[in-house]
Amino acid sequence: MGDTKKPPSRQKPLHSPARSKSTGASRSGTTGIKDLRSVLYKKFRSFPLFSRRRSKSIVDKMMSLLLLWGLVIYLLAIAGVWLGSTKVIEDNFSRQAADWIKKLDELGTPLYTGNVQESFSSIENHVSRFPEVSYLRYYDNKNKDVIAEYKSDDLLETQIDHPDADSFAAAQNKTAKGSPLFIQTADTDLSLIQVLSPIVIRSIQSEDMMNFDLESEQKESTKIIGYIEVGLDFSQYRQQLVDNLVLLSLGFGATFILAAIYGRIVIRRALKSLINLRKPLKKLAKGNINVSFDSDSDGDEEIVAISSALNTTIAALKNRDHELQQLANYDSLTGLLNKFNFNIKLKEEIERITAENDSSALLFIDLDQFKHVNDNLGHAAGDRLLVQVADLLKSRIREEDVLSRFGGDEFTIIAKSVNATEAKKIADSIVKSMHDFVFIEGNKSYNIFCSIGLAMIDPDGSTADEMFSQADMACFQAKSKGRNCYHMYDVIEQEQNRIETDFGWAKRIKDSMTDGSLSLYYQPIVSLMDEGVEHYEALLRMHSDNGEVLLPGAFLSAAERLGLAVEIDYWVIRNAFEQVKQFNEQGKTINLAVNLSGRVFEAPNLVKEVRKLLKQSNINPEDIVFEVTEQTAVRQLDRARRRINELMKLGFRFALDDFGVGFSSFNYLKKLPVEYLKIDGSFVVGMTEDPVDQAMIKAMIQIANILDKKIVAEHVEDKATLEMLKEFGADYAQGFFVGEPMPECRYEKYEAVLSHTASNVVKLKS
Amino acid sequence: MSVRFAPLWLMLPVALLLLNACAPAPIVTPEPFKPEASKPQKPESVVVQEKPELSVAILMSSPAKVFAETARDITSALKQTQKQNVTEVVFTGDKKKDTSLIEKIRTGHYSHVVALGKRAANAAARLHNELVVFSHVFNDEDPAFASNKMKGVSFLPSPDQLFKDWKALSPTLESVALLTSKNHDHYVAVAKKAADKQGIKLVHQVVENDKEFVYVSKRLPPTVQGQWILPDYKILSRSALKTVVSFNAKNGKQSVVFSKGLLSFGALLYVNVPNATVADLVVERLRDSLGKKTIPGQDVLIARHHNLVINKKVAGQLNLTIPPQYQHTVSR
Repeated sequence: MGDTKKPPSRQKPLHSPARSKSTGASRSGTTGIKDLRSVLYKKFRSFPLFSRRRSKSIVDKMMSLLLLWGLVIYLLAIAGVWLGSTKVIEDNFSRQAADWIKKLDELGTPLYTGNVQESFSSIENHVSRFPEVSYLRYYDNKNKDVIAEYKSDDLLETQIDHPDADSFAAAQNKTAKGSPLFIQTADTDLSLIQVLSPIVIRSIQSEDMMNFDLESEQKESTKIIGYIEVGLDFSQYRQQLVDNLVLLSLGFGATFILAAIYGRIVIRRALKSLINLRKPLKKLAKGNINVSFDSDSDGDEEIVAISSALNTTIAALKNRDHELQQLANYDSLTGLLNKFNFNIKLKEEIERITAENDSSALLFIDLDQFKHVNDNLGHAAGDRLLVQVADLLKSRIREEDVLSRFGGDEFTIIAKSVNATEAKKIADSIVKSMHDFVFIEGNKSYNIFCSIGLAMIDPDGSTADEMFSQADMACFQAKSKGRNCYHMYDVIEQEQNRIETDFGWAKRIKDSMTDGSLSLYYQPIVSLMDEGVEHYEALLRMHSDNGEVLLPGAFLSAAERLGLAVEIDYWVIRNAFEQVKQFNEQGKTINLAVNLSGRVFEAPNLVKEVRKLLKQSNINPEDIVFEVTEQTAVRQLDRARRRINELMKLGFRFALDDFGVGFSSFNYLKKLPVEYLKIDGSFVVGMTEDPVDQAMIKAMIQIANILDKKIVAEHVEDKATLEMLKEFGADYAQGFFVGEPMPECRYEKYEAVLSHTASNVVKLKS
Repeated sequence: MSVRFAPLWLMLPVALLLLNACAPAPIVTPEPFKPEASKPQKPESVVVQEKPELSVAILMSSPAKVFAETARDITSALKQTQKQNVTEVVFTGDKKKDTSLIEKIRTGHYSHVVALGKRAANAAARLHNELVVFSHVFNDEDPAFASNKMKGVSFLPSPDQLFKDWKALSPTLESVALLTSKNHDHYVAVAKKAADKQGIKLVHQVVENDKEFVYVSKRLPPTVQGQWILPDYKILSRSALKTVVSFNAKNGKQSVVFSKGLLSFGALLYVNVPNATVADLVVERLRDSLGKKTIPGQDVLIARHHNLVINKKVAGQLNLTIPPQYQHTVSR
């Protein structure tokens, strides 16, 4: 039994958390937390449901949902168990506390009637057997003094406050309201439940006893004779509860994990057929159509349908791919390799030969009478001829050789691993076969011959293009020799031919300038805005001995090589001036555009020569528009500008030719004092079909308008183009639709051409 | 010494005087209980003599049924043999009113006053000219009401009869406990004597409140086989009664109780003195004192008859055989 005096105030068992961590430790702790957060964030993001990846596996998604829901249920279950158990244990503690109070109330009866010391010894003996009873006090009612006190061994050194007057009053009130207990949680670290309860005696009122009824609600007299205070330490039970809950949680967790694993197996099994699609689908997504999907009838109905659809689609894709390959690599008429594919094969062969130090031959075959067949018997007959020739050629080559239809009536063959002699034998056999070949069409038979150019493919570093060129030249030689034969390319022979050719060209060009072989053709340029003067462009032509008209491309390269280009340019200028003069003498005024090549434009005496010619012709220089290509003008911009300005001072006007094909900035336009911009034909030819060309032409027109320059569109070849150009605001049009180049300035013909065109095209008067 | 009162009330006054002189205590030992007779025997032949008229005021402590029935029985009994003038007065518990009622009694020139209940007895004790017979007072020793002019009738059962019945039901009964509040010395002495007669040791202990009643009851020595519980309101509460009776039943102890309701909690016997019996004794005392200035006889007369109910179920559990003559008292 303890001291009956009221003990001093209890020392508050405050436990402040230790704050001994150093700054460094804090920093490293912060870094560690950041790392941990980063890792957790990554883990979180790697969780399929929260991944930012757009594509997520259905299985992963379902598993994630399963896990998520499982986790939620798990947490709810644990929380429910925890809360429920806590509630149950709290209720249990309350019940136990009530039982204890009842028990101690009865045990303490002698304290209020008999010998306190003796009576309490037995109580102490009793409660000491129960570790949950931490302390016990009995108070008298009058002064609330402690009559008897017991403390467990654990609390012997601990001082516990006595209840204050309010607590006694509260306990009394609780009792009055029928609640036997006044429970408060101890403010110590002992997790005590302190219970204070009054000790009440009751008696039946004397008058009630005469009319006694055991179950009656008759009020009994009550009197408080003391109080019991007991401290119950249920921490041991609480710890047991926590341990059990932890075990339960672990059990739940293990069950959850097992369920998740089993769920994953079940889901994967259920979705196996869907999962099996993933691998071939990935291949398919990468463009690999060499996959197939298992459309086993045992699979799921939906998956079988998807697999069948995919297999059908892949089959269609393969067919289309095959068709495209055929179209891309083979000639649709003859079934032979086309030019593109042959080119690849040739390159491969060149590489092989270089690697193996071997030699092969390239045969370039051109049918001699194909144009005749095509023109007289029609294209269908021509096609049939080509098919038969292809079959014939196939029969003449070995299996390893490569045969292609190179284009039109041209065939090419790579005769693999042959020397020059063997190559010639092959070429000879083909020529002979063709010689024997008879093409029958419409009860008529035709002899079709061929010319073959032969070039040896040696490991000498020649490219495929060079090989083609050599074979082409050899074929040309074969044709020159009178056709129906083959010719093998020889470098020395070819050089000699070139010299001979150049020599011939030099004489021919020089002669042409005097014998009338050279002439100017005039192509009309129509104004789309007004009915101004007639415009023409002077174009150079050469007449061959056999009456063929040669374009400048055929002889200008030779002329440049032989240093005759400038002389030709001056010829053109002189004759153009003469033409204008003739018109002037007839009382007509025309504008004539004259091309200046880069070579003459940069010639130091150009201005002097032009001035002299102008003087000789005595024409109005404003009738002449010199055309300089964009490339020539931009090459040396300042010099070009000076040259143009010099000629403009003489009265000539300038046009910038082939505008748009160079890579120059529009900026230079501001520096060139040209009056006309001639849009390159490449933009105009397909403009009705190509929105990009339309946009570019619009932009050029817009810029020209801003710079106050006039736009001339070349290569106008149909009505739609002409109308579109007018709509866009182009000033002039030139091209076959407007008028072909003609030996004379015949504007009437141009009018005739325009007579059936759209009415909105302005007709120029003759 | 046993004295038969009821049939002998017309015996010679000498015999009465002798009896009074020989009585060792103011409590009269009642006649043996006759189970066959549920009501007390009425005198078969009564010779009515001319006697002075009784003027009786019956004071009731409250309007409780027990008081009203007893008053009615007293009035009825008096009517049969006596000219009488009976007035019934019921106390309300209001001090002023009760004082006024007493004043009326005082000035009403009643020869006798019957006080039913303690409140009425307390009031009647303040009267000086009237002879007072009190009843339904559990403890007449605290305060001591008895005097020459004021004597009582107990409503407690006769210990003689009780122990006789109890022994008949439980032949091996040797030790019984009786817990009372203080100041029950006379009745306890009578009870001890009655127990001795039946070879039973009555262990008596005074307790102060219901808590102690429970505490002591639960700690009775194992040799104590039964407990007699009197309607001692000072030490009883309903919960204490239920607890103790239940505890006794669980521990094989026999309980004799004053409330029928306790049978269902495991009591073996229920004992109760009928109101009519008490009324008869009150009338007897009134007649005895007729024309006298004091009330003759013992301070408190104890009833000679009581009602008995045996709990068959508990009796069976205690392996008690109910004698044939008690079969009619067995509870169903």
